[in-house]
Amino acid sequence: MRVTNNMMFYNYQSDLNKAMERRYDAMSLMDGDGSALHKPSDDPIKVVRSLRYSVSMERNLQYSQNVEDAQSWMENSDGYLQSLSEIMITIKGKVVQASDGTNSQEAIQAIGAEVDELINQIVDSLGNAQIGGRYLFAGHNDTTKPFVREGDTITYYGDDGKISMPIAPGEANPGEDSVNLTGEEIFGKDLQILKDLIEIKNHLLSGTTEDVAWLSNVGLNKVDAAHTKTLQAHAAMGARMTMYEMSATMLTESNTIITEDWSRNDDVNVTKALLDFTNADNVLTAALQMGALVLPSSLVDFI
Amino acid sequence: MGSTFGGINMISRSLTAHQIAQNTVGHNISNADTVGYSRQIVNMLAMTPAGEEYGRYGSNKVGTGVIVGSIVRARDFFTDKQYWKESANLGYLQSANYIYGKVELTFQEPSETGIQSVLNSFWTSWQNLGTNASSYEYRAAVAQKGVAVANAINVAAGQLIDQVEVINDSLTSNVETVNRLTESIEKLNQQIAYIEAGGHNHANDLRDSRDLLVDELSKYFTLSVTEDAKGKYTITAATENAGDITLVDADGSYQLGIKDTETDPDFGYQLVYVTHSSGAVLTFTNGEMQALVDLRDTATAGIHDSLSKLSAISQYLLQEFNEVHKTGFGMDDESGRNFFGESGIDYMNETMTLGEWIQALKVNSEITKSDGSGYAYIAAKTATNVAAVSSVVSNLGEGYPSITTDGAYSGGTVPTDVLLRVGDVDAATGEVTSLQYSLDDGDTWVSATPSVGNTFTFNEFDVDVTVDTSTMTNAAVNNKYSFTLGLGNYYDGQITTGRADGSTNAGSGNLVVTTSGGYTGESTSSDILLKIDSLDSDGNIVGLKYSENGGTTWYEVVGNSSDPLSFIVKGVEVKLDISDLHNSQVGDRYEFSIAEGSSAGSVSDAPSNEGDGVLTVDTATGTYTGGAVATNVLLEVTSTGLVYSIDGGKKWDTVPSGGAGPFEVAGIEITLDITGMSGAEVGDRYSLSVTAGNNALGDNALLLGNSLKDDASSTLGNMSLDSFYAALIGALGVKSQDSQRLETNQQAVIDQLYNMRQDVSGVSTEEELVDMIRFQKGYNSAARVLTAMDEMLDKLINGTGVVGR
Repeated sequence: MRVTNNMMFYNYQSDLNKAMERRYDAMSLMDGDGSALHKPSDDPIKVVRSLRYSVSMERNLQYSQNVEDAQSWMENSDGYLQSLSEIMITIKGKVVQASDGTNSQEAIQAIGAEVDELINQIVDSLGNAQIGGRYLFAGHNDTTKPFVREGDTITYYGDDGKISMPIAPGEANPGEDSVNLTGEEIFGKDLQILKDLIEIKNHLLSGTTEDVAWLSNVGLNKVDAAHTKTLQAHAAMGARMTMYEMSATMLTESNTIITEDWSRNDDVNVTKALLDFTNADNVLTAALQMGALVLPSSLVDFI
Repeated sequence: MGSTFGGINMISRSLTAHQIAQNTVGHNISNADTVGYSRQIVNMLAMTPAGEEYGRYGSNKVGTGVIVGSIVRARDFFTDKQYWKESANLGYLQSANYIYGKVELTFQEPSETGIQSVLNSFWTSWQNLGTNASSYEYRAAVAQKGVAVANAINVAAGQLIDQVEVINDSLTSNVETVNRLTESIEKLNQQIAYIEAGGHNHANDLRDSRDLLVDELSKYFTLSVTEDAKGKYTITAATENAGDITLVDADGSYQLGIKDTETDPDFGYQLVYVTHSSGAVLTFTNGEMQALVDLRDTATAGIHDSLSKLSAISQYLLQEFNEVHKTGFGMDDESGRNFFGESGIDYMNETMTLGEWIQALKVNSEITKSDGSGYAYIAAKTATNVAAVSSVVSNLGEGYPSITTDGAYSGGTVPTDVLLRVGDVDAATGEVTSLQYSLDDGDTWVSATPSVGNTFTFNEFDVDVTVDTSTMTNAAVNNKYSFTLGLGNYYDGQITTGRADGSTNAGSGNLVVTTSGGYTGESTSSDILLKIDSLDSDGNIVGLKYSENGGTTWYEVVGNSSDPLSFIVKGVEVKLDISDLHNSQVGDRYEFSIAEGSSAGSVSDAPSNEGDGVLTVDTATGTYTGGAVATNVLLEVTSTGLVYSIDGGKKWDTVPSGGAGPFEVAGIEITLDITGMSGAEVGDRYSLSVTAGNNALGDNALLLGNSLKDDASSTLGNMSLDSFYAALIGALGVKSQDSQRLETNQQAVIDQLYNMRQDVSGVSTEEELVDMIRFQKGYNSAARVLTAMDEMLDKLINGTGVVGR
């Protein structure tokens, strides 16, 4: 085989080019975002997998966000239900105090005024509690002030809608993923608890012997029933909170897994990349040295 | 026998021959780097012997030196043909790769700016809306992310269509290049034939030029080259549809043309095709131009394919995604709106080209209105907020029966609600002639015993109850009243019109009084007179006065901070509710009394609309402007239809269309369904409340999110949107990667062929230098021989014939 100048130069050049390309590839893997995938043809299978991971990650992050929102919502609700429970206990104390037969009518009436204030507190501070501009206990009608008290009439403008904060793909499933308690869930159908409290208050404000009798017989029972009812609502929310906490843990775990998988799929193996680069760099250096040694030598130097 | 000077002649030829050989070495070395140059070889031949020399064994031929037989180029036509064949394939792959690279760039995957991440954040925005459906901020985010999706797809499609224009331009300029090349080849054909007219081919440098042009031409198509006896090339290009078409032959060159009159039926962009001189569109088997056409037009790869996929995504969003959106309701409780596209178009039944689907993909301009009011149209919920209508306490006539009781309540601590019903009324006098009572909320009725005057009596729970109906006027049959029997101390809350002269008040409606506190007036009751003292320009009551002594002394009702309409009389705090009063005039008076009450308590109206059936809200649409506070709407039956009031009955407006509506309350347009009502009478009242609505319901937003992530569609080849997009990217990647791999392989083939060509045709300076020395030595030697011959002749001429001198 004849070896001609052009052949030598052409082959050397194309070899050198290849060596440089390899070094460039090895280098480009290490620079920038640390990702080995920059276009679909880099590795179609890995790219498709990467897209899938990005979807999984997006879902995971969103559901985590939903869990956080749900927890914040329920922790807030929880706090208010706790206060409601405390107020109920206070009212019970007041009723017990009023019905022990040692109080004057004026004293009982004063208690009635206190209870009246407590009812206002239940309606305004608890019933109309808000989180981020949304009424917690208004069902789906969360931008309308749900409880309005006019005299002894308390009207509920919310509805019985449950707010879903889903933690898994699929349709909203209020039976499993709702986070709110509606007015009727807390205060009973037709706000019976509030009506009972108003009735108790009226008896206290009246404060006659008959009223005291009513309070000790009926009133106390009603307060107890009311307290039990709100505790039930509270307990239901507690169970839901536990579920969301479990989901939060699960989502965090799967987040770690997705992150790992995704990074294993997309990221440059730095050790390997470094070795590849060093290798490619050595090859290039050797090729350059060889070229420098071999190419200039010619017969023309010796004649 | 040769001539005396024959040797000099011979040497002269030798010197010439070596000079020519040395010149060729120079030519070769000079052109060592010339592209397409083939090294030239001087073939030296021994001259035909000229004379005979007779020797012992007969005649001998005496050599007469050297002659340059030919100067030829070292060239392997077979390798050339192979090169020209393979070059087209490389051209195809290089072009294809270039375009695949551009398409890949268009999609920018995987990255945080590609369509996938835009789709992801679009989904996220729906999820967020699903949990915060009543928030305008999250609605705005959905609209903006929708715009981003539409933009991403339109920008990608736009870039692909730009690429089509680049391809069209390339095809046009390629055809020009090809035509220029074939023309040049044709000219060289002529020159070569002219120069080589003698027979053998020695137009070396012209042939190199021609082969170089064929090299260039060969990347455009698969060439087949034949050489005729005159040294002319006939070049044909292989096509799929027209066999081998001739580009150059002995007679001339044939120009290719361009056809640019067609447009793509799917996307409407211009299509440039390469045509034969006959005008027929050509499909080449290989080469750069076919790669351009293939990647532009093939349905399964390249630009058209990617555009079709984008179109499918657009169509999916416009059809099925919109369908889900249309089933949902906006904050104004309207459904049937498109999220993408334009309002009023049923995309399910639209026939559009692939390109039109992409163009149509934009967020509905009603939603993206600049004032932000369109965000309410985003359908996040699947249910509307239809307000329920309830009957309102509204007995006909005025006044209440008064109750007196006697006896100790035996019903225990639980009080009993007693319902009274007017059984019959004397048409002439208006007096109540029959009264019934019920202890079970109206399920069973018992007639009370008529007694003196207009009183009725009955005994329940050991309490004698006397009902005095004389205080009632214009009472109607079925009017219902309720009071409570039980233990306890109540205050009488009944109201009468308190005009001294017996004239009636100008206004109507009930003044409601509630009392609290212990009465200090002992067993004497106190009559309280109330009068309307002043009204504002709208007719609202702004001043009330009360009197404890029959109107002699009046006190302003000043109230306290929590209730402005209250005052205290004899230890009893009296609260007034004037919400039911309407059309009141200054001077209207009301009277009631407070006292230590009976155990029967106060009498109040019981729900008692005359009519049966239900009044329902048919539709309530619009955006609520009343803020966080609900608006109560009172409806009343009049002789001409329904009237409504939003201020508790002070001002009444007519409900149009005989009571069906629509009428507007706080931005909400309400229509009523009155078909369910029967036997309604004038004065029947209903109430409903209007609020911002149940906008926290985000179930449809979640469904819309599902349709972005999970729902499979036949438009998307029975895949979900994400899978479809991943498949699109995957297929693109595989094709591009495949094409890159093939290009690398093909490049290796071409490199190999290049080396094979260089093996034959390439100039090796080493070799040339050796030749240089060789020819130099040859020349020097010949010159030396010439010198010897010269000396010999000198001897002969000058040294002979002088013997004996």
